[in-house]
Amino acid sequence: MSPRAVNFKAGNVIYMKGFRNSYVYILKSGVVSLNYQDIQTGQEDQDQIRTGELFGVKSALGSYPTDEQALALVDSTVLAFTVEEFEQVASSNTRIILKMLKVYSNQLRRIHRQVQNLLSTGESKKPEEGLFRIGLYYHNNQKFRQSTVSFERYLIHYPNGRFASEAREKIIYGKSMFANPDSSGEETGSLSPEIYSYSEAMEYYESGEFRKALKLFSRIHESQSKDSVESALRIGICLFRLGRSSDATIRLTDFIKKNGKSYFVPEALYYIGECYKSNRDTEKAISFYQKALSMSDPSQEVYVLITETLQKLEGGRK
Amino acid sequence: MNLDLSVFERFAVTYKPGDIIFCEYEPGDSFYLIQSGKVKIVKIFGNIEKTVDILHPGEFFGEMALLEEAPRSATIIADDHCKLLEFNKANFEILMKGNPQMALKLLRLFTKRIFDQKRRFMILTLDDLDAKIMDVFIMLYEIGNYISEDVESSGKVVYSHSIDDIAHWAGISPDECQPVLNNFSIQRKIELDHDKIIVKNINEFRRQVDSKRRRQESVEE
Repeated sequence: MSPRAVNFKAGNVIYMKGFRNSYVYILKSGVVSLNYQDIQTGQEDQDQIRTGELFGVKSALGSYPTDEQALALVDSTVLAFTVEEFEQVASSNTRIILKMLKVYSNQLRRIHRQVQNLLSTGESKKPEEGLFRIGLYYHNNQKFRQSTVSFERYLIHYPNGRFASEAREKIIYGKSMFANPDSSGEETGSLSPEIYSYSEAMEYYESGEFRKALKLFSRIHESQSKDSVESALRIGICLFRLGRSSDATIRLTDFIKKNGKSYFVPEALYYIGECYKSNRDTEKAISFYQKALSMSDPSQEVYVLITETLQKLEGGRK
Repeated sequence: MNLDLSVFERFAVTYKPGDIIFCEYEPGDSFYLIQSGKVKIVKIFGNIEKTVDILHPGEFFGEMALLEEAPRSATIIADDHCKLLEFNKANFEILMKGNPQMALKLLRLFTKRIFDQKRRFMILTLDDLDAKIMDVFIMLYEIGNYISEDVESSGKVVYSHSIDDIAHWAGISPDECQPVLNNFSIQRKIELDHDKIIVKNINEFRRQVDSKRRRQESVEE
């Protein structure tokens, strides 16, 4: 088996766009143009292949339709390899593969960024802030094992960073949620019993099993453990989710009275608003959402929830 | 791919379920090969954590940041007790040069990822919501992500995806996706089962999407 040398006259098409190409080509002599449509702008674009360069690799290796047309601009000779032949050649010259890996890695990152831009959720954050926000996400969602690691990574890379002191505080808090944070034992083995039942309650809560979650949160709340306050809030939310709006309003109002400075007050206010909304009292619901919004921080999960709810309600009124 | 990786045993690292291997945005200085266990790739969009993919033994991750010295593009979390081989830039090149089969496998993986992303881009640039969702089904069929198919004789394809999955691929919220799927169901284009979605004729979806795309392109020109 050996590659075939194929001659193309100027203006000849080596392969068409959308063609199932099974060859990897190396330009031996001449000039070849790869003509393609830029997926972002829709404009026709072209890359010129120089002698010794490869083309057709992605479509041949992946058995995908080609996304470009290969055209000989002058009389050219190309070496056509089957995938098997190409792999044999590349195996004895891994520098080729490494070079291609870098090119593809760049292409992949570029298209990934374009996709993220379209999704409008991939706002390009500065890495420092982005990394801190990963920790914050886990922290706000009580996934303290993950938040602690994320903040520790933040401090490794940005020891004097903008969020360093906050990251340190949150690491201390996150670690306090573990009986033995540095234990190399099994993950649940190092947790105290009430933490374990709180995370179990949260699992039920997050999976929508509110009846089971309510039972566990009630138990934790009565135990007066350190999760007691948050459990009081969750009890109110579980009651709302179970359709018991008036009981939920009572519990959530009580939570705010007793924990006026808690981080979770905006969430409690939001769910009181939800109770009113479910009773079709939109005016009162909006006033609670607005109060919740004014007290919440944009980094809190509930902030987005409130903003979206308000937007929908206000949109519906127009 | 049979690789003798025993010489790389000194690079082995282990993780427990739930452990973060690295975080999105961290500078990348290492690359991993899974020897045992599974890891999940997650991304945080606003306040939602999405599992983008689950990787199994024999698969790589972290190679892009290493090649480009760019920040990590996702967070990786151990889904099981995992044993990984961890390489840095210097021994990555040694590993690749000494294991051309692995380098080729990585090359194939990149071509697949580029194809998938380009395909997703095409879905997202469709203006028409119905066409966008139809194109998600076409794409899932093209990449073989379905339970069964009978495209030759009837065009039928059975998927195990949830409405949330379809919405995610189409870049819309499940609330926006649900009425479109309900409408498709009323029009008998699909059947919505509790754990599966059946597209009655994927060829018809393809025809409609092609036509919408052509019309859109001619308007843009």
